[in-house]
Amino acid sequence: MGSTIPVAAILLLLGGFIVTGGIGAGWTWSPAWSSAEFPGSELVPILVVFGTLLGAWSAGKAKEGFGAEGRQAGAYYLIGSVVFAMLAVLALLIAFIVTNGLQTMLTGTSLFGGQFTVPFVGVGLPWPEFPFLMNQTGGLYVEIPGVLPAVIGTLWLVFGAVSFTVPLGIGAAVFLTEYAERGRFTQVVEIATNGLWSTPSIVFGLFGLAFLVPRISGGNSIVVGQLVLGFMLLPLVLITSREAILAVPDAHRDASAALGVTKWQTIRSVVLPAAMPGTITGVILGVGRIAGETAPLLLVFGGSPYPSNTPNVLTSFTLTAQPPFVTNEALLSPASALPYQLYSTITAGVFPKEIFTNTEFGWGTALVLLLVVVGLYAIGVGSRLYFRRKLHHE
Amino acid sequence: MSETESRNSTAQPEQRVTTTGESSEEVREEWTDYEFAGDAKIAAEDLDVYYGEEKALQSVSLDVPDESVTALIGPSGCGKSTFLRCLNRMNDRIKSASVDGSVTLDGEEIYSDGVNLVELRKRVGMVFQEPNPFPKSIKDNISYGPRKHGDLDTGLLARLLGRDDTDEEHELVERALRRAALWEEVNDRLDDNALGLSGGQQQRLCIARCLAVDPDVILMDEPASALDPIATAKIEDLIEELAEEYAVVVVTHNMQQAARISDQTAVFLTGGELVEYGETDQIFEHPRSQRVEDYITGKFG
Repeated sequence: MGSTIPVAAILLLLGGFIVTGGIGAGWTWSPAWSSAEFPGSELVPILVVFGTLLGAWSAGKAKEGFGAEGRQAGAYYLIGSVVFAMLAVLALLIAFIVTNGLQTMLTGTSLFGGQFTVPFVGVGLPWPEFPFLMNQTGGLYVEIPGVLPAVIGTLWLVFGAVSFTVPLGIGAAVFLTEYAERGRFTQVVEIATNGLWSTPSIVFGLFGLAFLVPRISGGNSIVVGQLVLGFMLLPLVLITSREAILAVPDAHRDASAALGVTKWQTIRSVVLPAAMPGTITGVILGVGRIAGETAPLLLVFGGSPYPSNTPNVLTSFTLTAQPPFVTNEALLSPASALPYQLYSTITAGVFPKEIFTNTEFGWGTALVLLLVVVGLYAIGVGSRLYFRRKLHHE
Repeated sequence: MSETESRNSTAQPEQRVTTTGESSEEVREEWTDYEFAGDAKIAAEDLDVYYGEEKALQSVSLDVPDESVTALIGPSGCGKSTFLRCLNRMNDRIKSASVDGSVTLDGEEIYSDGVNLVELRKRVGMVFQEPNPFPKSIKDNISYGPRKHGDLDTGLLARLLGRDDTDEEHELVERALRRAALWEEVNDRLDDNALGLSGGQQQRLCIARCLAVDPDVILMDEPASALDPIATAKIEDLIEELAEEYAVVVVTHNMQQAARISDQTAVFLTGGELVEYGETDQIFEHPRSQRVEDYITGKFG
């Protein structure tokens, strides 16, 4: 009771002032002891936020009749409003990006405006058209510049990084949990992986620039970008799959051993499938991070800010008689990725086409990046659900 | 069980008297010397087990006959599970455990260096206290062992070459499930996840999984202690049936259960000693050791 009455008094006073117009957007508080000025347009929202938290807390107390029950309810309301605040921040962020970027992304879009020619038959069918998603960024004949090279670049980066990191990370996790003796060595590895995970990405980028670029491609390239992002992803995959493998009950290992099944077969057929959902969670988190990573890409990956062609990785493999026998020109060339495209567009001086300003194009790119990351998440969550359902009776 | 416990608590003052008398009692050789017709399926000779510094089994010698149920009883911490886990070398999986002595299976030493653990555990199957089916389908649980041993090939390559063993797999799954008295209950949902079965069904599935490998000996570590009375009764019936073909060794802390299902009983007492071993009726009706009598009548333990 004691704490709710002063709160109520403060709130009444505050509400009274605001409603009667005593303090408002136009009012300024300039205290005598300082030269700083506090304009009402900033002061009022801050006061309202604190007032709301205080109000929620004491309303909770009052509702459950004070005492221990009331304190419990007060804490519950306070924590609940914190959760809502967090959700509000997230919603604000997404809404802001969508409202700013949607106009750009939908420029020239039509549901049946495009044409799709059926292969071998040659009949044209009406087809949806998304110029911002399907067009090149630069080039002479592009009317509505798009982000296709950046989307493809991002997908190649993620694919390359994941495809060499996941086997390495899971392999190392299996070794550390199933084969290595718990001791000094595994502790050192654990500390090292945690340290690697918290290393700033620009440091990875610098390493790539100084060590990988001269040895592999001699300039910015997709493959170095994949490697650098893969190195960043590796510790997370290792940590999460290690946790997931440790969480598999020993009863499964005992049961398998008692049937006369070897350790490696047990790991392959019982332990790893059971650890799959946890591992996938780790990969999803990691992919979310590397898909939006910009700093290392600036150093080792990015090419022209307005690329006029999409990296054509699949068809550029060529066989040679000398080592390394297989080369891929596209993998060894620089490209664009969505975060890199966003950065280079908004820092560039003038946008080459008149249809968008730099900022508009940037917002569109940001929205596409958001959608790509959400799409990758959806793939990950879907596969995790699939494996969970296979493992458990649901 | 609860009956013994309550009797145990009422016998508190007496217990102190018997415990003092008990520690002075020496184990006589004829108490553990059990004669039976035929060769021993498993013979343990002077088996010592240490967990680090602690001695868990003290020089245990015990012969297990074929095609019968051998019950190992005793208070908790008496080494009965430890002894059981020596018979298929599952103790090798515990890093701090060291085993000294000899165990022979059909006359062959299993603690020599050249022994193939995979072959040994194929011949000596094990069922655990908690039902532990794999998080796979019922069918995959049964065919897991034979598949891993290469007895069944249902891989893609075999299927393409027309040499897959899908029919054999079906037969094997049905045979194992029938043998474990589970077929009637699950034959319409063999592809469902095994974790959806009840506890008793899961335990019978684990027995079926063990039978699918076609062992000679089945070790059971308190197989019914996590189950309700009805499921326990089913498991007990099953154990008696299995004894027609296999040597079954069952660890149990339930003396009534041991009396019901076993042909011979070994009593372990605190400190990892084998105190008495003989025909079940004789052990429960005329125990030769005073300590065993006290334990069976519920005066301590």
